[in-house]
Amino acid sequence: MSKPLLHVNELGKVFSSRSMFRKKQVRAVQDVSFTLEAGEVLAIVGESGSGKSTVARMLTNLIPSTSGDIVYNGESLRTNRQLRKKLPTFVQMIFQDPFAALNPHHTIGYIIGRPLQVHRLTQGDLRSRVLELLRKVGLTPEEDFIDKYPYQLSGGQKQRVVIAKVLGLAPKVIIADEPTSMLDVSIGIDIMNLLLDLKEKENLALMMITHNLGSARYMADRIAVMYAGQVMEYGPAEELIQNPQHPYTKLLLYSSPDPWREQTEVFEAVDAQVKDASGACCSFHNRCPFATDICRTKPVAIAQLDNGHQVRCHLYA
Amino acid sequence: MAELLQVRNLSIEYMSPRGVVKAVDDVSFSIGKGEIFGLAGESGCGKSTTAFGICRLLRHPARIAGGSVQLDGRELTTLSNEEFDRLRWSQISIVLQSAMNNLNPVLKIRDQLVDAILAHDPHAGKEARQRAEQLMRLVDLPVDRLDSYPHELSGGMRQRVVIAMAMALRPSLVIMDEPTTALDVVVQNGIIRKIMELQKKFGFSILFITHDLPLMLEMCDRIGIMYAGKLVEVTARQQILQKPRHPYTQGLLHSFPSLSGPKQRLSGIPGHTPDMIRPPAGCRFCPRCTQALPPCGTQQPVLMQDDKGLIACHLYSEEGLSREQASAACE
Amino acid sequence: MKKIVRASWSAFPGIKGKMGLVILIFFTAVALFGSWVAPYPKNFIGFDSWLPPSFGHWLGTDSYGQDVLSQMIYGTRTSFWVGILAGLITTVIGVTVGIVAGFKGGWIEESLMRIVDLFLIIPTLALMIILASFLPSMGTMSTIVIIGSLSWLYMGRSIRSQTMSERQSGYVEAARMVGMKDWEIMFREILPNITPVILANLVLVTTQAVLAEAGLSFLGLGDPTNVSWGTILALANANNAVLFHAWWWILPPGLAIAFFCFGFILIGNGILEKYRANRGNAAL
Repeated sequence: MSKPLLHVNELGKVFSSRSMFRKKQVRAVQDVSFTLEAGEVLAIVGESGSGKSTVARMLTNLIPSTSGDIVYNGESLRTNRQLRKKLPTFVQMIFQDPFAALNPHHTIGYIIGRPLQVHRLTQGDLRSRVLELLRKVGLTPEEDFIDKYPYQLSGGQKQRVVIAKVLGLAPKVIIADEPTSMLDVSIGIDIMNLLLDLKEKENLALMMITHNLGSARYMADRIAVMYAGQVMEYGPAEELIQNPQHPYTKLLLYSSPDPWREQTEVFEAVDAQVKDASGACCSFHNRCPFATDICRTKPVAIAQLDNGHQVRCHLYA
Repeated sequence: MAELLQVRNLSIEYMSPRGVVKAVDDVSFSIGKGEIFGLAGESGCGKSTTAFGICRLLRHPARIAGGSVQLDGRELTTLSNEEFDRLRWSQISIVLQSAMNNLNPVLKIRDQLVDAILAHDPHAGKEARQRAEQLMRLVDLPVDRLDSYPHELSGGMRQRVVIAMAMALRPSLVIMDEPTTALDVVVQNGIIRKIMELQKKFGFSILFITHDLPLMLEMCDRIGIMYAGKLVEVTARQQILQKPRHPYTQGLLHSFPSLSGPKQRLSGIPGHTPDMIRPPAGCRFCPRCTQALPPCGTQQPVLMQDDKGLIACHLYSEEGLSREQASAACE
Repeated sequence: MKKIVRASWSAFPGIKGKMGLVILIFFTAVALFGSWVAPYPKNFIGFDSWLPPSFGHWLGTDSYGQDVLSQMIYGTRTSFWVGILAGLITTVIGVTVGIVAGFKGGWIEESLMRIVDLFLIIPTLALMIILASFLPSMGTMSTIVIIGSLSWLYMGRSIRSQTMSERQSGYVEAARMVGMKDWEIMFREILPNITPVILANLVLVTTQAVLAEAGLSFLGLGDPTNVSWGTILALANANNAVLFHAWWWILPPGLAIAFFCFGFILIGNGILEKYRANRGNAAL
């Protein structure tokens, strides 16, 4: 069995803030594990505060992790300094806000070309490489775009520039953090299709972070559902959507607008705002309609179901 | 169904450094009493501007350039500001996307509700406090939260407070502009169900504005689709689900990946929205339309009424126009 | 040529900015070309003293018998260059310290800011006086260096806070993702975006420098061999010009300082207004 491209093992992140009198700790991510192979798409689905963006930032080393490990091709990010130095050519991220991700003072050509220079990736003509990248993301005629400034581009075009820039570094893994949430839906589909096409052509591994289960189903081979910093359910995308096991997944599916499906049971969730993220018990217990005493008192282990489908729930322990 | 709101040929424009932008161009639709009407479209289509135009919330340099808005037979555009203010909150109220963040941070919730009530019903007096409590119960918020400050409540709770405020005087029309877009999907679902519950109970009409078409299809009776300042289709929910007529509506519907049914590749809508200062001659959607016909590039389609609703598209303007005749008429 | 003129004209936006530019151009012209226009050489003492303005002497003469107009023209050159050069030195130090402190954070920021705080406690002018008194004088150059090295403190603070807010921007995060070195992010990515603030600060710092030079010269701590607006004022004061009603000796240098600073302030305000209009940034 070959090594997976990316293996995340019990990843955790605790943010501590120190003020004069109190030390406040926030457990943003806890015990998160998953793998990613080349040519595969993994979607991490969660609402705000679920920790999904924190996971993305740890994978790209923008934030250091406090526990657990991130392993690329068998090399651990924590211990391997060489890997950390060369990380930009291995994994790249596409951000949520294409408007803010481009420096308004640089031309498109500079934005795409400069990273290539930083990593000495051009053996020939920089300009022709930039034009080639513009072609790859569908920004044609390329000569028109290379000297433009970001303010002259639409939202969808800006996001394509970001993708072109990222592609230039030839990463093996691309993490897309809500890449379409700030774009119109019809443009968003274009961007998602572009990512899927590029994944095929360049044999990339794609990790998509989203709050929208529909987009996750559209893009992903496997889905991980996060809540309060933990992975609640993880498995093949279609299986997870059609046959959800965790109560939170069921709640998400039920709440997502989908006028084409026939409405089955009404899912009554207890409305609560406090998320218990201490790890001492199930963090979903105060909103779960199936919660029992054990849910409130004992930490939950991951249960393996068939087909690579995993659930973190006392109902299956 | 009796008509509550009638919008006829409404046009709103504003001055920009490069010229006049026709943000809303000759829009006509009506909302019946007790009906939930949705106005859908992507960014820049003019849906929010239309709502602001109806409520007289447009700010300079935007202005109503023409048309009429009638509420219960009464013409709104010609009312004086004082007369219109009397209608606010008692006949028409509005819930905005950012409203939950625009609650006064230094006042308790109770004070804000009471203020809203007294502002439009100065004789409420002591009764105002009781009505504030009633309103909280109406939106399923614990009454003890009346003594909290806005930052102590979650986003969903704050939006419920805003909805409660909008209901304070039992208006006949409630306009909601992207009320749940900034909220998580679970919270959104709870609030939408609460809105529909209230609507059934009190029978007011809703003008619901969002870009989220699936959401709209779950709650609205009739839906209007806007593109580049124009209304392109208005029809019942089932019609849009089963047989959307306008190519833009079809494209828009196929931009939302679904959670049920077979997994298939969606095409979205290639291209981008037109320049609103110099829009294309002819149909504004023509450059992106895969079913364009020869007249589409030069003649603007007229919004026509038929048994299925309103439609502005050359494909339906003459009987016997078959698809085989379609050819790309525009670049 | 026309393009350059038009570009510079529009670079100074608004009526205020343009008025400021006109004033600045006037002073620049005097500083650069004044020596050809001045009626008499710099130190020529040959006229009768205390002469009020007349055709021969547009600004009269002083108590030494020198032509005041010539003095003013040569003095403009000194004051102008001190102001500009000290302003530039201040800006370079202030921007560098500000960006590095704002971007790096941590102990680098702490230590830099403590230095700033330390110097801010001591009155700037007093420090300048002390330095000017004790350091060996190298003429006008030492004045420039003294002023330049002590005036950057407020600017450093202002640039630091701007940098801190830019640090949160999406393009900075994207630059870090690419693996750009810190210095490149600071000076190639962030710097262009805070240029308006820098320019506005530069302008204010230059006025500070001019006033500082005038103050030092007035106290006799400037360059005694050179004439500047400050030295003219100093001499006028020392010779009791007020007592002799010799307004033509006192007013010109004072007005010159005032107008020069005013011009810069107008430019600075013009730039700031346009920047605010574009960004709506209240943190300036």
